Amino acid sequence: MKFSEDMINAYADGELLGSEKDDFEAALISDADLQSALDEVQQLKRELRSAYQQVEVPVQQRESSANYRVASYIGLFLLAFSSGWISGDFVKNPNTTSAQRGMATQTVSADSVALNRYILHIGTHDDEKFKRALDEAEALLVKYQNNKSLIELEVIANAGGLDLFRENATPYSERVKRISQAYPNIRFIACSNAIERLREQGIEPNLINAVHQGPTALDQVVMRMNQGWSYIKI
Amino acid sequence: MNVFKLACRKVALVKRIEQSRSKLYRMALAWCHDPMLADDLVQEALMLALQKIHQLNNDAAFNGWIYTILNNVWLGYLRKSRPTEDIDKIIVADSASPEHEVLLVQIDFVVRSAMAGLPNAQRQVVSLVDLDGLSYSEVADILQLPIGTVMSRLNRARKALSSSIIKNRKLYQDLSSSTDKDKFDQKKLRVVK
Repeated sequence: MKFSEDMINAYADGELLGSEKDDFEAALISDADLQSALDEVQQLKRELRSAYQQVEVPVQQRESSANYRVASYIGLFLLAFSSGWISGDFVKNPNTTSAQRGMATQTVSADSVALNRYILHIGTHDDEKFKRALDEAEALLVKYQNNKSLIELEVIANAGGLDLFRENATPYSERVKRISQAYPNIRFIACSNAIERLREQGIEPNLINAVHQGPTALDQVVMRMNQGWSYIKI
Repeated sequence: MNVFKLACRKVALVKRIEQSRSKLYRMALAWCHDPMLADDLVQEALMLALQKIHQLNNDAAFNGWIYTILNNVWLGYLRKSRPTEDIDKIIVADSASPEHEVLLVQIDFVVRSAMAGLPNAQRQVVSLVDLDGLSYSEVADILQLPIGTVMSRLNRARKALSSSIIKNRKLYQDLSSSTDKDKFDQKKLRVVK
């Protein structure tokens, strides 16, 4: 057997080309050891693939249905203009708010019919980021309210970010309640996975009253992006 | 700029990111061997992908791009959780237990158990090549390695896997041929519970 183990692997992985591949295949016909070594690699590849194909992927909570998706795609283009999503304008400078940067005011018609939709996401426990998330949310709400434009806003927290919405862990409990009462068009959402993780550790999340339990943060963000919302990672 | 096309592309990319969840989960599980952690890693990777969606200029590079994000999340986790260890050498195998032995009768578990016993550097290479059929050059890009290193790690990984699987199959044969069936069944019951 004149071929190295690397060459046998490369053939099994479809990495040999041209004359190298031809030489290898010619040798396979008469070299039983080479055939056996190749069989072993191919068997191992099959077993590996099979071992992980059987793995059960965690079930995701879905709000979406086929009809919802079609409707959301149709609505996308109108929303994309008003939300600024198609501009690809994501958060770049963490020290300024989206509203200050004039992130999304490309309205296609009068302000009165424009609808601006944002989902703010916080995924780490960081008091500075907690403050920035609430600053960002309030700045957007004030900006569009002053412009007499419609705005819808969600703040979703997962992983360490969930602490922003936990009575015993956040320094901003009163502020979250105040914003929630002052603006009917904002929703604070806690990721169901993060809540579940805490409960598995024997910790009761004790969410602020104004906070709703949603699906997973990922599902919520994907759903909103499909609906044309702008995604802002804090 | 064709705004219509741009918007369509973003819709398609968001959908593609969302649809990558299953394959990323399997890859993450092959790397960390902890279902809950794998789910967290994938969530974080997908969130980052959504955040960085505008950075993907070439749709054909999607696979490499999303696995690179997953790899960065995984390495970030390892650096944070095991700061004093050499990441390439980290293995994630559970210690042996009666339950572990009984589960070895299942071939899929035999293979996954062998994977868990590989050093991280080998485990990542062999899973990217064999679970998703990525080319050596794609794997080299994702893991930031020379192709020669990918090939040598792959070879070492496969040799170690074969050896471990053979050993565990022998254990299965010994268990199957055991006359102490009651003991075997008791072990099985403990797993079922």
